[in-house]
Amino acid sequence: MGNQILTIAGLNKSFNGVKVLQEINLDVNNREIISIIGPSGSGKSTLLRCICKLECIDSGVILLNGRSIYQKDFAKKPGTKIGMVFQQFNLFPHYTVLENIARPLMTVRRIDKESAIETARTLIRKVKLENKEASFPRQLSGGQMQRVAIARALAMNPDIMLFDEPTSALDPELSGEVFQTIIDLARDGMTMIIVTHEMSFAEEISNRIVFMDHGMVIEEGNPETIFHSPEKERTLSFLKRIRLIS
Amino acid sequence: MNFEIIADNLWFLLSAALLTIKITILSFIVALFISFIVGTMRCEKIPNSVEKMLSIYVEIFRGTPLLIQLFFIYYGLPSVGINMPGFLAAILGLALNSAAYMSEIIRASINAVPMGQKEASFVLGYNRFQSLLHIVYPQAIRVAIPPLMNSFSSLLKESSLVSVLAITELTRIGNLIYTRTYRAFEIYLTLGIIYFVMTYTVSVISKKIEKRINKAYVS
Repeated sequence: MGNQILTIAGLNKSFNGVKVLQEINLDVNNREIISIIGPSGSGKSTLLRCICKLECIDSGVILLNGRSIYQKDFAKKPGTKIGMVFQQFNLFPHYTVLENIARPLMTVRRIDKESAIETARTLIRKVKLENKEASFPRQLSGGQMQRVAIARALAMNPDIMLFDEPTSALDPELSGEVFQTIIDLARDGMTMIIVTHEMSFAEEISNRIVFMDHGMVIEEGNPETIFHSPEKERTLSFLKRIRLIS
Repeated sequence: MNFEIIADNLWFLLSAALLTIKITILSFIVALFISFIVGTMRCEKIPNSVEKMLSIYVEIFRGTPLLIQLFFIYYGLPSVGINMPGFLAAILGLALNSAAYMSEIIRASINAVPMGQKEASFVLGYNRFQSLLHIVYPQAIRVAIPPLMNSFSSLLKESSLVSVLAITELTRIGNLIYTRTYRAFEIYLTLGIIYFVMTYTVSVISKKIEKRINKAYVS
């Protein structure tokens, strides 16, 4: 069990009395890649937002490397860094690509300018945007923006990366380059939770698929089982529905 | 028509115009300071009582005439033991009045920064203050500059009201020359022209600044 990096147990969350997450239990092992799928409004994104503390929870525990994320001074301890990638990128428009990655290091980590820029350049190479470091976000395509957002999150050296529908704002071609970046991360052994509607991508990259509906985890298992012989009726009907559409 | 009076008093008028500019800039700086604090606080989660107080301040200063506010500060407050020289009363009155409007500009500009920006900075580990300083303000100021320049122009014109506090700014000097010469047409026409030249200059500068900001943003 020393392998376990993220533990979620008995998590409940409601918005104005409406239950959006009910008794969620989820364990994520080191280097594991989990994709969360399910219909809109099933609570997938809310779950990610709870993990990175953008939403507070009603009850339950979320442990990262054995420490509650709500512990005082949690973020100051080692092994407690969470990286988040948003559907809408949320790059800082007043910073260049380089600054988007380097400035948070300087502001939050108090790293000196030279090392911050060096780290940023390494990550820019990793997401293959060497010739864009002086560009502003508005000068980039959606796919490039999302790769910068990934690099920005990676710069903080996270223990786990969360992706909230990273390609939902992109056309298929641009989605491809973002998928490739995520696949490269997987090769490097990054632990990831990905909320996505891209089923073939989820099937290809994940060690485990979690199917959610109405704020509950309905079924989880390896991609083979979930996508081809799911046990639960709701999983099957969801998969049937989306395959009919696409 | 006798514009000789104007020529005779030109130096007098111009130095008074300089004082008007000084008063405007000083009270604008104070107003900017107050409005940033008030506007920012009203965007953040603050205790209800504080929010109530801030909103009462804004409503009172927007809902009553500036002239009454100036009279109250200069002639009224001494009754409760608060005395201040006319110049200070003028700056304070103008600043508090403008800040009430400007704080709403700041508030709206901060709210115009997408929620995702605050969320992204939070997830990266910025604290509230760092997020404001590095992420929110730079984007909000861009939105706020055109309406703030507008406030500056209004302030410049409204500063003529402080002539009632015996401050020898442009309007007051104009009135003094009038009582000496009774040449209302020439004097007030000249005052109008001087005010217009000043506000027009501000609007030209403001357009230039706007253009520059937009250039930086829309490549």
